[in-house]
Amino acid sequence: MKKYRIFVAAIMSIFLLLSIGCDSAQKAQTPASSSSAQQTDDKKAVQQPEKKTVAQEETIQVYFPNADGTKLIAVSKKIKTGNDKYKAVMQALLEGTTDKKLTVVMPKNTKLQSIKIDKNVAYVDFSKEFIKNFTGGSTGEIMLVGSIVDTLTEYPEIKAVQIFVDGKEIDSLSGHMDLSTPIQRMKDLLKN
Amino acid sequence: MQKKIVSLMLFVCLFCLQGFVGAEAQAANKITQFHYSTVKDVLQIEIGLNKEIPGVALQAVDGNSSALLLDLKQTQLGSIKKRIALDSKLAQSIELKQVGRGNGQMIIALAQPVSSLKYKMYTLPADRKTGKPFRVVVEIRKAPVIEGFSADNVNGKTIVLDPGHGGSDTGAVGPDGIMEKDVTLAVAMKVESLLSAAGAHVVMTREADCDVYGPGATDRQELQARVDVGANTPGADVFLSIHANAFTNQQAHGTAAYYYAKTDADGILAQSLQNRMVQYGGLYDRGVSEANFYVMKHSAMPASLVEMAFISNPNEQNLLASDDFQDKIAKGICLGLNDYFAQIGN
Repeated sequence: MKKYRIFVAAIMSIFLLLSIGCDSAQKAQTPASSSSAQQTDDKKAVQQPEKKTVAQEETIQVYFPNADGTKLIAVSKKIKTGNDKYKAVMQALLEGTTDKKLTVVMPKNTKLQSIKIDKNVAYVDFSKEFIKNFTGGSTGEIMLVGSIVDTLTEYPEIKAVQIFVDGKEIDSLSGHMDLSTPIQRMKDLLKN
Repeated sequence: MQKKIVSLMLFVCLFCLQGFVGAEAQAANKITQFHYSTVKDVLQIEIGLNKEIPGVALQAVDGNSSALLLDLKQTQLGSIKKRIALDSKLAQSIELKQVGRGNGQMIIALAQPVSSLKYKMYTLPADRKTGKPFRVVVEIRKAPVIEGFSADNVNGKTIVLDPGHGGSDTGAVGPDGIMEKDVTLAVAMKVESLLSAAGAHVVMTREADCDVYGPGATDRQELQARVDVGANTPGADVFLSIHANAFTNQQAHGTAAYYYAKTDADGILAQSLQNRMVQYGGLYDRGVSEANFYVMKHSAMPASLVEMAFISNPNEQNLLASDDFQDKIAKGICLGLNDYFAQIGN
């Protein structure tokens, strides 16, 4: 009986070790970790001192879909442009809007993990709620992705946006759009 | 300890039950009732038995395109008439036979070729309250035909139909719990039946409530599995994915068609489908849009994804769940495909 217990304990500890191994390996693979993203942005900010001299507050355009989900409407918002302007822009989108003619499509409790710009592509990393709490079909997907992409591509240095969730690439949101590659500005959604 | 007692009791129960079933099986299963009726052009044949029988199967008789064969395993015919004439436009008569080791057989002589009919079989459990016995039910109806459908253009074409979502993926869910996966399948089956009747070769990515790749797959595996059905269908002319739309705001409504502009044909396909869906479904026209949807982008042949209506909108949810709207939109989709082939064929 004792031998049996020892054997079970040994097996369990092997599994435990294996699972720890897997976990650390996954973490190492994370493509857009938030610390490195912030570092690159800090460097850029230092290299471009003219931006720092601009007033601390900036008015930006944040896009939200209309009630019927047929197009995106620009809403002006004031943000504090510190060292991480793009993060502030995304936070403004996450905040939502109180305009009753518009719809808040951002899934509930979604948090921004990081945002990093590399070669004109913005890599935005959201928490798992982005997928978990998403409810919608094709129109929901298009409007959500469109609001993120079109808000960020207001900046000429951003040509496309790729969405990550918990540091990992995603295939899709709910089985419609192919989100495995960067998405360019969705101009069709801005037509009147 | 309690758990042990419960499992022991369960075991004892199972053991008793087995003995019970075993003893029952020895006594003969017998047909005790026969009944048929025609309601709304559906012929319903009902056979009552003194108890549940181990197997039933319904199929068209080989080499005879106007008869159906119902196998009743381990069933005695009893004192029921062996030949019964039916007063129906769909079937003429039924004949009962005893075959092999005590198995029963019912042959339904149809009044028209089996290809022009739809049939199904199901069983109903005994109901003590109403005194009804265990029943085997056969339903026969006329296969739907599309009025004004010129079969010329879809005839001989190969069409891959993809009912959106399925199995572990419900798709969007309406305010009353209607699931996208169910309405997409219902409409796709209707489209399949209409297209087949018009001479098209239809291949379905799924024909039941199931995942195409398998449960627990990644989005990419699941979507690619659907694309693969098209890729593995020689000579596939079109890939068509059927969906129901959803949006956070319940006001959102209407019909839309999407395409990925691989070729000019993709846009023509989406527009043809959209025109006819709006014409037959009668909902708000949201127009045709480009989108980088996975199944359209990765299918080699012209492809479209249609959003019939918004399941998140209470009114349209009810329409999507109704047989009448499903018939209309299915007809629109078929005529849209017909228009598409007419246009690109020239």
